[in-house]
Amino acid sequence: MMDDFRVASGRRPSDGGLPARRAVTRWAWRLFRREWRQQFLILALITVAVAATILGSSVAVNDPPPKDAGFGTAPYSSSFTSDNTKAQTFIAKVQQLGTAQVIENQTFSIPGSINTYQLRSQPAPGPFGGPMLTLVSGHYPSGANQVAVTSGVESAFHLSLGKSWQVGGVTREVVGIVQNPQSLLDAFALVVAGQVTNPSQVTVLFNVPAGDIRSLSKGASIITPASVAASNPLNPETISLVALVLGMLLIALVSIGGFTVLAQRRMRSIGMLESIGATDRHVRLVVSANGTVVGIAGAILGLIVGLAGWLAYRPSFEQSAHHLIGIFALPWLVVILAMVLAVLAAYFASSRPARAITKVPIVHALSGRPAPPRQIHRSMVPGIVFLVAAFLLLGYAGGTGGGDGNGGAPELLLGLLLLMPGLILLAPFFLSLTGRVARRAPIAARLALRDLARYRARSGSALSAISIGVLIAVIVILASASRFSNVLDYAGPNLASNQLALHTGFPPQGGVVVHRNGKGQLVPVSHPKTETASSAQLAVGAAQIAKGLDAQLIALESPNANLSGRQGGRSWSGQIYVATPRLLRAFGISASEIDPKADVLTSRPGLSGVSGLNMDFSSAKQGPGQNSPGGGIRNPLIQEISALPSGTSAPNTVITEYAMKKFHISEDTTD
Amino acid sequence: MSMLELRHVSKSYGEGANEVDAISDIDLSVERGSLVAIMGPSGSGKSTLLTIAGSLEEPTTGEVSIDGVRLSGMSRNDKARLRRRSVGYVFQDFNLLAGLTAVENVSLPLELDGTSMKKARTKGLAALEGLGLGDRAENYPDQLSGGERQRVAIARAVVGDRSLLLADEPSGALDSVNGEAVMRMILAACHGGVAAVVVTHDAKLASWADRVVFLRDGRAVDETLPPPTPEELLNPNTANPA
Repeated sequence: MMDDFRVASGRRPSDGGLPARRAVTRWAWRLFRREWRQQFLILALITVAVAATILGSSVAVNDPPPKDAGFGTAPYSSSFTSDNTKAQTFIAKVQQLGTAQVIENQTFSIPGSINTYQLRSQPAPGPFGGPMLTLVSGHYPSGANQVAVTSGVESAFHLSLGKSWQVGGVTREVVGIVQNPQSLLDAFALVVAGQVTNPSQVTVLFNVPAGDIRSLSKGASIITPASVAASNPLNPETISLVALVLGMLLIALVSIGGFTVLAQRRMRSIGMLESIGATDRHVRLVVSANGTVVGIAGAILGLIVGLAGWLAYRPSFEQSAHHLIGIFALPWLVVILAMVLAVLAAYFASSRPARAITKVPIVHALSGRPAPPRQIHRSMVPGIVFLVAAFLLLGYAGGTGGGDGNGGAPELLLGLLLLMPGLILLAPFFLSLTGRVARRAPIAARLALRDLARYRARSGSALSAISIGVLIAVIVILASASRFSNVLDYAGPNLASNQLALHTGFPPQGGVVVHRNGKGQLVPVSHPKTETASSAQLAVGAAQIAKGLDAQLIALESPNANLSGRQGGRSWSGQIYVATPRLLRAFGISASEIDPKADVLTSRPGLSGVSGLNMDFSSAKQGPGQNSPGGGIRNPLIQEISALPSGTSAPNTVITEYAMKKFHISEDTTD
Repeated sequence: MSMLELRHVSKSYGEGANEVDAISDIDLSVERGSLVAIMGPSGSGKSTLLTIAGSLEEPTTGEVSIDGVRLSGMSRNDKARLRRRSVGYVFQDFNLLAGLTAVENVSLPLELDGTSMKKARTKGLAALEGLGLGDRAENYPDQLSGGERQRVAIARAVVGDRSLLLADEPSGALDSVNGEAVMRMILAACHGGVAAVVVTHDAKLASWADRVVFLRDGRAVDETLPPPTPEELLNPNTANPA
């Protein structure tokens, strides 16, 4: 008869096939709709994770300028800065071989400012330049006496549409407001071709057959979007995906506990389902379908929240990123993967309780009583093996590359990966320890701890999630501490708002500090025009500025010497100044505070304890202006003096006059 | 052939000193179309007997057969299939699935067995209409009265070609009028060829049964049989020994 039953039942699928799965899924969906509040935590976690991924990755991906910035739609670009004849020859060649668009720029200063703008001749939109030029209002210039300006130029010169403006020696009417969508900082005045009389830069955007590039590249530097793109494999999309995977792992671990509680709450309903003939597969499907529904709902809600956040933030983000960003310029691969991972995380999180609930006897399930916790004796050995292997790998990774932290990336990654299963496998054992600790705890704590220890299926995953979360935080803290505790990797504060530094050349040639209140630090301000002035002229100019600002003036002198060293994977070759009596007096340092044998004074904490520092210098022994190759000393005597300013750009490290004389170091005097 | 047959069935819970015998050495045979009532005080093993008879629980010893199919050695999935095709349950507290309408509850065993949603729904509606609930088919369980819920549960238990109906205190949560109505429906199912076992405390409802089995401390202590027919009285070989 047994055989008869099986033969008779063989006409239909033993597990009910698609109709059964559809019926069970329908019920799971109805339960989700009725009881979604009970799953709010999981739903919220997934929603926030997906939304944060979408928003974060969109910002990270769109923050750098577009890959084709400066190219428009052209595959090739070449720029000429000085030799106009060479540019014209190149343009003629390109025009014979293919299509070219020429953009001419002439640089002008904005009066009263260190900023400049370009007088630009660029066909609008031209064969390639469409993405680099858009009209905001008005129209493009069509004659020599017309100009269109960017909003930056408009505000700098107080212009408006219809107003006349003398630019490039010609009075022109402002007929339009334009912008470069790929760089909102690009300040220019657009004129028709032929109006840029003395171009400081000629850019040729062009497209020619690939075979002709070689002949064109003789005497010209040709670049492509790919050649200027960053080749760093850790691009923003990759970093977003790594963060997403880690986040979803944590969410999945937390969700296991949530789905376990939910499954136990529905135990009676599941018992009813089994009593009317549901198989284990149907029961698993109820719980995992619920998980999938939660994942899908969270992914869709996350997408909506993420997109809403992106739409709200995009206008201000464009201003900070300095280029226009399309509404749907999202990293769609990351978005899709975030949604898929959200569903997978919820599905896998619900799979474990789904399997566990089929082990509950139907009569127990029907009674609605939670099954007594099973005594499972699992070995700690696998967890310990993972942990030991992880620590060995991490130790090995730290020891590679001469211990400077530059080597062992695969070992580091593998070590971190092994650490996670190790923690997950050992988490239940630590929970069982809490039950023992509870013996001496007050009753409320005792009950809570005993429950944690008894129902490890619920709490183990949450503990693992917390452990991994703490692990990530610890790794970040250790990495940050290692990074920022390095003496040579110094990052001092910025200058105060009442301090100003005028550099007469490009650092580190020297500078002039304007110091309003007699204390504090420095801020560098580069001034290209000063390169052509003499030191004496600069000193006079700086003194005038200081007087105008009612500020104290401190001249800085740079020696022909520098300090360099390497420690903990960081190397430093730092700018130092001369500890002139005037400088020391300005910062309130008396001669008695200085060790007469000190070579260097510094405010940088710990620098005096760094061994292996080199001070290289050029000697002035042969006479002024005839510096010898000089030499260097290892481990100069460094004295820490906190009175020196600590700002990164300030004279936080100075060479003593004693060392200057001892080693016959020459000076670059700027005052 | 008996629709349900229990042979020397015993069930114990716990181990060693904590071992408790829920039922001991029970023999029971239920023919097609007959209604058997099981009575006994609380803790006498009535519900355990029913869960074992319906394959929800395994006996410690003994053999259970449904429609000639022995349950011992069957896999969990085979038992589940047997339940959805041959066994219908009616519980005291209805055990309808929240989130499904009355007709969805009734048609669920059919859908679980692979019947298409449309066909299952048609059969479910027919079962509900047969019990006078056609107009309540789209209501959720929490929108129905206790009597209506139990009628839905009976419809679910008999829908399809079920041949064994197991009811655990089906009128326990109902007033006497609804209780009698439920018993009438179970009897009607029996007249249609279904074998039914009903656990009840109510002697009046038990009087509807063809046979009443009394349990005490897990043992069958008494059994009443239906009164003999005139033909049986005339034939000494088939005369009721009781």
